Amino acid sequence: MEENKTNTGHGMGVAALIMGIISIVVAFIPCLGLLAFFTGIVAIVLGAIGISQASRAKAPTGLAIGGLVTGALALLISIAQIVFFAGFSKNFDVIGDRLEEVFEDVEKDIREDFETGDFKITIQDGEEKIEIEGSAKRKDLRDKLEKLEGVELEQDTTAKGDTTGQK
Amino acid sequence: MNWSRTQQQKEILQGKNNNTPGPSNEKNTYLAINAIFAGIIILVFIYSGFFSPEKNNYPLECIHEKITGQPCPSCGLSRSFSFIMRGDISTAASYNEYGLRVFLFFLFHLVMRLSNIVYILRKPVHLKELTIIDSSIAIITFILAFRQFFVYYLQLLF
Repeated sequence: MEENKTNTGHGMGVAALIMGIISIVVAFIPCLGLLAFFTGIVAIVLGAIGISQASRAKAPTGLAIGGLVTGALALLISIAQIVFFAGFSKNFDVIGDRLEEVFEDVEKDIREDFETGDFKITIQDGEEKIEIEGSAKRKDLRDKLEKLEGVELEQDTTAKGDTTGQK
Repeated sequence: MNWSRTQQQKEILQGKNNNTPGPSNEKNTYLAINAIFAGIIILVFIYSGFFSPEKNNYPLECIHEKITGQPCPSCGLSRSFSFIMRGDISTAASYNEYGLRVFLFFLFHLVMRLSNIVYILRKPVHLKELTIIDSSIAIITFILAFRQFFVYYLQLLF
């Protein structure tokens, strides 16, 4: 007795297989890997429709199964990438917190250095030698600033006095 | 026996029996799959030739780099392909060290798909054996061309 086979679901199977193979190639290119998530889903859907149509009509399902499997594989690779990116963004918060701590430490160190820091610059050209000594202590700097401001104020007042005297 | 198969093939070709799976229909399917893949590879080559690496006007950007801020092993692949299309292999290698290998994979498959089409149309073939050989070659060449990307994925995950 000859079995009456039909061709139902064949087109869907071919489409699923092509989409599945494209998805696998795309999934393995790191730059485009996430796109395989969508193409993989399309391949799975086409494959499922193809299998369903073919099995209802008792037609061969090989191509549709091939499409479904390749699509699923591409989808898995793509999901693995998504998991990695999710992990990365989680770690990024931790990295961000750590960076903040590091910046705070550096700022603290600089502040402490300025509280107690003295500096000395030496410029030597043959026998000639120039030494500049200074202090970067906050207190000293404040004193100097006040001193300078006082001198300036005095100069201002004397200058103002002179001008009024001339008038 | 041979007569009935030829008759069936004739019927399929004449469109009288196009809903029946048989050797001719399988052959047509195989031809269609080969033609579609050849077309896709030609489109990839047209894309690489059309967009310029100097202008850097590629519409597809690296998603990986956008998210992580770090380049991935496939970064520069489009520019590498474009330089290969323009015959500048050394510059292509400087943009992506795996570019030439992946390009050769596509070129090999384009030649294979086109020769398959010609071969099937000209000579009677055992489609099952041909499909098995074709799939095996495709998988082996794919692993050879993309193996650095597999390694990269494995490093990401473990």
